[in-house]
Amino acid sequence: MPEHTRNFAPYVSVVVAARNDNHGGNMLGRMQAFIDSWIAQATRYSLTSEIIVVEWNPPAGQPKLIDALRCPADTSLCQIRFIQVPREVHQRFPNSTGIPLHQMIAKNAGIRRARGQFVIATNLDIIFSAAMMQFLAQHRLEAGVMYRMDRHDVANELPASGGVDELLAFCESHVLRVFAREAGFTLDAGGLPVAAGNDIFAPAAGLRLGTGWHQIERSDFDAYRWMDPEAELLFQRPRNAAPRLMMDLEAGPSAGSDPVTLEVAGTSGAVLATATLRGRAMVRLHLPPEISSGRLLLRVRGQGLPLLRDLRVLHLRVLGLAWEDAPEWMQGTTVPSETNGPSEPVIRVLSTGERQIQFAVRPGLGAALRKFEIDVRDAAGNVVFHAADQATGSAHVITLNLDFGLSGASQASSAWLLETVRAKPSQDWPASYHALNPLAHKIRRTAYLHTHACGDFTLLARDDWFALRGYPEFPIWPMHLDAMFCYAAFHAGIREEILRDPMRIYHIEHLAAAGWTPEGETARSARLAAKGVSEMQYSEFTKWVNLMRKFDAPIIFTLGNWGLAEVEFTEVEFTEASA
Amino acid sequence: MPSPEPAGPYISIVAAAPNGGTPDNLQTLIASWTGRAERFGLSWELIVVSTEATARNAGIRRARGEFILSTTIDIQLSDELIQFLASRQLRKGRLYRIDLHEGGRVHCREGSFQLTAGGLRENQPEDITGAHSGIHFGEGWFPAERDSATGEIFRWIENAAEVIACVPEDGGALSLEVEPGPGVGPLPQLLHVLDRTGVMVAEFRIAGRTSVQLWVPPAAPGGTQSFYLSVPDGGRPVVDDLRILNFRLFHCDWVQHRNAREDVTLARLLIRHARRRGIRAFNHVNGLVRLLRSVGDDIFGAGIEYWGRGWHRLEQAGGEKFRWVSTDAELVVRIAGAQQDLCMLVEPGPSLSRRPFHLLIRLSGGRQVAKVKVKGLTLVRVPIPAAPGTVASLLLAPDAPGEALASQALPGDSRVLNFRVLACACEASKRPLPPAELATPVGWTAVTVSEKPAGIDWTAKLEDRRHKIAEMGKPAFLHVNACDFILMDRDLWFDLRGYPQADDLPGHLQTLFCYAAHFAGASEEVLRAPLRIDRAAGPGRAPVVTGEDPGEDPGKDPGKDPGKGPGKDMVWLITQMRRLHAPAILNLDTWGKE
Repeated sequence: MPEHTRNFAPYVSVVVAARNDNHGGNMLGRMQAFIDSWIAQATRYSLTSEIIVVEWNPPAGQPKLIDALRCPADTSLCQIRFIQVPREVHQRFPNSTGIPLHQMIAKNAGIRRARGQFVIATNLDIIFSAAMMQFLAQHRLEAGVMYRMDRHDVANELPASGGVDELLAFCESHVLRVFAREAGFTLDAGGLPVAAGNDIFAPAAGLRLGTGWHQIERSDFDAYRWMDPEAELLFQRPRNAAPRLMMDLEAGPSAGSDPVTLEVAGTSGAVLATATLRGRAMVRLHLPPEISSGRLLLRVRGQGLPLLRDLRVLHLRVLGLAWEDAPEWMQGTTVPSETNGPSEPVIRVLSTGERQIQFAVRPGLGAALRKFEIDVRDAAGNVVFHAADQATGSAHVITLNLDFGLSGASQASSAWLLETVRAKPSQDWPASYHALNPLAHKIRRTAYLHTHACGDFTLLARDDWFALRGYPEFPIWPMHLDAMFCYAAFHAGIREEILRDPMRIYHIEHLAAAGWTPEGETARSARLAAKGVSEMQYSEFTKWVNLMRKFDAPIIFTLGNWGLAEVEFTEVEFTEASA
Repeated sequence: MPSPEPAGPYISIVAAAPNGGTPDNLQTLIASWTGRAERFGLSWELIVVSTEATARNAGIRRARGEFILSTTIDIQLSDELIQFLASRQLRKGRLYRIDLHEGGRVHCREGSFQLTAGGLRENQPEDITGAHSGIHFGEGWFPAERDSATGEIFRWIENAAEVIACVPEDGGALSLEVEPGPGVGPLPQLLHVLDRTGVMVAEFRIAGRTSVQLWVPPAAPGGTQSFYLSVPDGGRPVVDDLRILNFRLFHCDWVQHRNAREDVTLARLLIRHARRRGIRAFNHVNGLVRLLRSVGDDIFGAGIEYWGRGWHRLEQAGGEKFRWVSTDAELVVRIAGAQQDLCMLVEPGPSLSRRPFHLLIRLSGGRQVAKVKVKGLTLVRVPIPAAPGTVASLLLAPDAPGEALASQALPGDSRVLNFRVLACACEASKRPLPPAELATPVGWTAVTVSEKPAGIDWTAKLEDRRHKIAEMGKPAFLHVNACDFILMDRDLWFDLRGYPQADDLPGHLQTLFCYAAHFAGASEEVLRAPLRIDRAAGPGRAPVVTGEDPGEDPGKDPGKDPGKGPGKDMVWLITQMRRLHAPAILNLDTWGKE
């Protein structure tokens, strides 16, 4: 290691593993964008940092990365260190032919040699947003916290030239999909997740889902989405819709035998309405009629019990969202004079003062009204007024005189109400795929972590990386290994914090069958199978996490020599002179 | 306790005591250690902790010895063991383990067993050998189990299974019934017999459920004979049991002979023989009578220890008993007292068109013993070139190409019936061979009696796990039964961050720890007698060997359930260590500091 490098004290170390094999296509172009954008922003925001590129098993006949890349002009605040891991070291590991780059072992080699107070394990094709860089430069990171964030995938036709601002603008305007904690989804032009076909609401319902919704799932009879503890719902009530949203809900297995509590909150976080829920229920959300659009937060609370086969905490699933139609007479300007429908028309009274309602009753031909009886019930269904009498003759007019008094409370919130219309028992969760973990009631801490695309961004204090001895160093295809690390960190007592917009990382899209994309998954599996390379199955990953939950302890698979500590590697600092 | 040495002691003994132990216990422990350590010159320190993992780790973390022994205060180390420790022969990178003796029981790698007065593992009430067989099963044998489908009792063996047998005075034939398990490769698989010096003395090819017989030579007078069943291509794991299950044996006992005369057969054969041979037959009558009188329920008589492949079933027709032979009928004869002749009554069969043929008699090694013409019902008598007091394995075959014979199966009977034998026995030889002709004494002889498909087709059963099993290679099955003695170098303890400190971990944390040590690169070494540890009889310890357990029943803690294994979760976890070739460590670098 060069002497001057040793004396540099970065706040953040950024570790990537790579080899010059054009992995993913236009690899050098994407990597150059990563280095240029980091250096430019680190300089702009005065962030002292280092980039550690672990060049693993360099391909024969290809130039070293340090020779193939262009060194940024100003690296005064960010040193770039290339650590060369030769082929001979790579060949010590099993699967050395099928896996030319053991990504986690390579990253560990970099993390082990990092000197920053904090270390970001990421990849060579990640662009950090300006807000993210500013946040890092503020030195507000804490030890004992694992920072994670959504990954925004962007198109790979990067601007041919221009500075970091142009690159960031391109990224912001070319997002293909987002890997959030709860799901991966594509965004529409407005930046909201695109609804699935046959989603839980009709396309014309004026409803949109924001954060906190899991992907659409389907059973034999239903389509549904599980909700996070907090989920965002945006609405634009159609003109013919009553201000009542019917929600088909079902308490999930993580609730156990207890009911779940559902809260509706406004954008300020104030709770507008609350209900408790058991089983499956139709719940009517009454909105103030004057509100026709807005953003609501649905919050659900329950026991948070862990499941056996699914790492998520599933308190509530939503099987349908639909506005109640306003009665036709409310939609038009005239009130119908009679009805012969199978059910009586709903009468909606909107008033803050006295109102009179008259019902004209006219029995059919040959019939006579013999008796009339009137019940007035409160919202809880209690009869608060009752009148009955005998009737004679045919046509009658029944007159109700109502006097509404306005309380001093908030006018806007008085109309929010969650009303359970009907309920039935939930499905037999213990007999389903979503059965509880048999030790659910003994498990003290359960979290569903944000592990989607966590190989692209996991940030911890260097000491925490060392306490956990880095990633598992299994010489297999690295699927789930980064997520294993996240769960180990959590069960080591490290808190997860998800950095939110406008802090972002942008991932430059690969070509097909390189890295993980939903579209390339099948081809990737086929390639692995053909090579006879193992990977951790999701069921095995789940089992590991269940064990960590059971023990409430991390599971670490490396020894004190993790990160190839005992090996002396050639290290070259990237400067204009070396480039 | 001796004062700490400047450079730290050679060994730190971290002894766990329930609730810190009573003062009397501790005093006894310290006095015992101090006296013997001084006597043998052992450099040591003693750290007494309570039994929880965190407390043990606190002691280990503070230990200053080059090596650290984790044990409990009620464990007594033999003088030999302390001498061994004092001799500074311990090696870094080793995981030292040892059997635990507890009253009349021993907790060893394969399980926990009662011991006989002679120190052998006692057979179980329901076992694969008779109560008075004098056969005992040593290392490499797992406890007897019952097949859940058939109800049969069996024992698994791993790579080398020791049999200790009181052999009859002149040697004895051992009958074994064996079936391949998941630990062996593609069938057929070899099962070797090694004598006590490790020399292979017999070999069986096992493709299904196979009955074999093994002639065991006598031991020194009053002694026992020990040998090993060795599996050259075993050691493959399964995914739901940590043991290596190479073969399972359903039966292991001495062959019992039953002899009874059937005069009706004798009379008929005498008449037939006389009719065909005329006056010459009378020259053979005495021998024939003796031969026929010597056979029992079967066609085999005196001196025929057992018979193996090549013999068709026993048949009866016209008052005669016989067995048909295609070719290469195996026969093991015992040369008792004096040199013996093999006497047989043989007759050509339909596959040879009942025409005369030459009967070849060979030793199992291929050497030809005799070539005798058989014409009609013929009394054959040939000297056996084996020294008195030995056994010889012979093969009987017609002198004709095997393929030609095989093609001459009969209509309605798929068998090739070349000749039949109506009686077969040994008699003292009238023409002793010169000593040079006698074969080298045959100490061990093996034949395969019968074979049928195995009860479990492991290849098919494990097909969907084939890849996972292949990833594991041939893993070690560690000695994790009663881990009250774990000795390693200090660096290794620190690299592994001590015992797993998880509140909800089942009681098998030492099991997990031992496997983690193994996959951290430590090689297990089980210390053998006379090195030993003892604990005064107390509550039974769980033999931690199998994958049986209450599963994920939250109400049960496998660690508190004697006789149960390490639990499904633990088996799964260790299986993953085997697949990934990596240790699983549950502690952070703060281990032992709490």
